[in-house]
Amino acid sequence: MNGPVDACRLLFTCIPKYRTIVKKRVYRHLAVTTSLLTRHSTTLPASPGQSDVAYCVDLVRFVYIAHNLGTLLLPKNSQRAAFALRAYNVELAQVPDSVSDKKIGLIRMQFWKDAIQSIYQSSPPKTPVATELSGACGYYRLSKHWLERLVEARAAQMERDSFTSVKHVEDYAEQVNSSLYYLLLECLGIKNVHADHAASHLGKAQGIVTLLRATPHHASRRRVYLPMEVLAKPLKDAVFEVASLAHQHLEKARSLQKNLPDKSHLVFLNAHVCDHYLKNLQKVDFNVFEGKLQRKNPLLAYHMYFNKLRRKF
Amino acid sequence: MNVNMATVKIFSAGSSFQSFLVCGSRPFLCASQQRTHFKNVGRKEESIKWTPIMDNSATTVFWNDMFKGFGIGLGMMLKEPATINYPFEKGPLSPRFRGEHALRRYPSGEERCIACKLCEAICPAQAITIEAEPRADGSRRTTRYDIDMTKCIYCGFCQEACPVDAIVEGPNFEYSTESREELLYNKEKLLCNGDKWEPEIAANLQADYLYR
Repeated sequence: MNGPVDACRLLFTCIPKYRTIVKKRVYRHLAVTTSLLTRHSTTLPASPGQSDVAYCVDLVRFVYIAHNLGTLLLPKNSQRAAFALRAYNVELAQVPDSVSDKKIGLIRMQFWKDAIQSIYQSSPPKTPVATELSGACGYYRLSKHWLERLVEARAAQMERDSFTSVKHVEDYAEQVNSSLYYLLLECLGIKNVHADHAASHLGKAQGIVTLLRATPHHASRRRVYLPMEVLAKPLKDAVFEVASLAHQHLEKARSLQKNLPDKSHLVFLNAHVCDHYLKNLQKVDFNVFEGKLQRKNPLLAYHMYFNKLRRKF
Repeated sequence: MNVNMATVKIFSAGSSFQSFLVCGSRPFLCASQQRTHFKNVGRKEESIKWTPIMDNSATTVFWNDMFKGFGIGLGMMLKEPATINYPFEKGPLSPRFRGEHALRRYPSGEERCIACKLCEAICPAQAITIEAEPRADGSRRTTRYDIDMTKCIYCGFCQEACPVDAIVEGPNFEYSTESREELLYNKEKLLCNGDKWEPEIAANLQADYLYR
């Protein structure tokens, strides 16, 4: 127990009556924040811009529920840009799984590299994600190099197609996940060295957790992305080593919380996903193939919302 | 004892009528002891004639096969049929099935294709021809998008290369035509396919989880 709020959370989730109250509150909050953004896809858009937003929201919502929730808990005025950034990330992340040949994937990555160039020359390709991204870049003056870093890191990783060392995994995770956090912090107008430091560590933790969680999925496609230097050990020891690294990064990011500026914790609410997965992994004795680990966390929304209220992550 | 056995042998050497008479009158006529309860402990002699052998084996084989046949017939009656009533029933298809091409639209109704020509570049059979020009609103769109379905080898590279998921190979495989010209698809035909097959295509493309 970390204090009265944790106790309250436990109480609320245990008693059905209060659980429905909390659920209603969470959903009311989510409904208010999404009412402007989401619409049913069959209705015609009021304006062309609206349909672009809806497309980005749908993309994020259907592909990655935690990112969707994390974005909905951001301040209302920066949600649109956050959805654009997340949708851009989703587009890039889906490339390696949707191509049969590395070269075709690299062609698609090149398309996005060119798209970023043309966005900064204010002539974006007319796709919803690029249009929204262009709007966000114009409004929040987002740094071009973070956007480029996102796509370049993924393209480079597609070319190599494996990790040699744990350091290599950390670097990739930092480039892919932390860049997104830096961009989200820019959307919230936060320029703080501690926030960037926390983003760096949390990005690494998140990248490593994603890698571990995807291991059964990759194995089903006959691929191994665990770093080669740990693979000499038995699988459980290897997983333990990688997972403990993620835990260290997560704890480091959390230890920086007291120095963070106001509102920056909102960007880092996704940390709960890492925390939950790592705890479950420990419970199943570091067997990544345990079916329990692949289940969705039904209380994710509540935890993230309470973390928002507690100003923690 | 030996004398008695010898006597029996002499009697049995006679004709059958004679032996019947002898056997019937023996209790009255003979003073010596008679043994009639002989047991044959050797191997029973089988009839070596062809007719009974054929009859026996034919009966055995016939009834065996009859029951086996009925068993198979019953098993087949209870089994799910291997065939389907094709034009009315379709077999299962993989979500990755690569069939007839289609050009998709966004939910807003705007066409997805932005004329980046990546599909044209990647196509190993050079079946795709694209011409594009900017529209009045500044967006770049295709004015011509042709696929020669007789050249296409259905490798799916166009779908994989498309950064906006515009060109896809849908689940339709029933598009045979009577003439070759009908297989030269233009943009209207492809967009029409997209509108017709959108629910299936969207369901097939749906990735349920992001792992990267």
